[in-house]
Amino acid sequence: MGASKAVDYISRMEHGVIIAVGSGKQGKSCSLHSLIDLCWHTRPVYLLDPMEYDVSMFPGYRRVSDPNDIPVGSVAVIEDVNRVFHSRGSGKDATLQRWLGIISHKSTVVCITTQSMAGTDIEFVRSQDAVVMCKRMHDEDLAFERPEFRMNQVLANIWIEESIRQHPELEPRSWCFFPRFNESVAIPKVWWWSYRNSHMLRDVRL
Amino acid sequence: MSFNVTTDPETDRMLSLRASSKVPLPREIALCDPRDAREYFSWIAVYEAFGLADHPLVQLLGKRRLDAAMASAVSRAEHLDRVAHYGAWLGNEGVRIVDLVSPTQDDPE
Repeated sequence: MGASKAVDYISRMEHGVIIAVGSGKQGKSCSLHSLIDLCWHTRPVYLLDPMEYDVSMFPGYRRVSDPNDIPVGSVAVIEDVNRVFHSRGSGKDATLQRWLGIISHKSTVVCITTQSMAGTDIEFVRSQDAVVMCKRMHDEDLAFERPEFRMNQVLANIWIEESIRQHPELEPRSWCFFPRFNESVAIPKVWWWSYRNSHMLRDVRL
Repeated sequence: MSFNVTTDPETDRMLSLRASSKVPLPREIALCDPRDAREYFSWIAVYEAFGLADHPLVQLLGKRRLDAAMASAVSRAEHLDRVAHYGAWLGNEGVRIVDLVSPTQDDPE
């Protein structure tokens, strides 16, 4: 490693929040899990999700439904975050604020995926060291993005497009833009990622 | 015109973020009064005539759907922010594109 400032920084994060944002089926989850594999190969990874599904398709991962069950030093992944913490939920329920307030003490990295920051509880970016990872977002979705993030997302779209143009041999969905580091990075896909992983909620009941 | 800028890591980050093109942002936009921003966005044909058609911002302006988004982003920026913005575009620092997927020469395979 050493080629990417963003990946280097994330590898050294003891606690913090990684936010993968972009339109549906642009490879947010794939890139996020690949980034976790790349950066924190040895840390335990927990999927925080109240829905019941088979986690064996994520080798080495465990599923918990309560942030209290996540041990010190872990990586907590929340797929499609507003299913678990609702859009403006921290205004009604303090669980998220209480939890994010102590992730620095518990050395927890919280990784979330979301389709738009407009639908994401803003507590995630307010509390701790948050790194945003942009995937492509459709123009229609961009119109509804929060103004604070819209400009970065416009840049992300431009630079991901440019990266794909410069490297036509790579999978287009491997590109991620990190506004904080001003970097467009192609992240290698983790070996176990498959159609099952990207459609893991296919059989769950609402 | 010259700029004296005192900076810190956060400003550096913001400046480099905005310096993502080879051509400076047209100074009418960089230094305009926020209330006039919308008017300047109708200058797209002029920018094109001056050979700025490849500028990402000008390309964005060409897409009607994004006009409003860009206009509001520019008009919300503080004046100093816009001055810094222009200074950064003059600095011509680009975004890095990093390919971690392709094997490098150091790899055993």
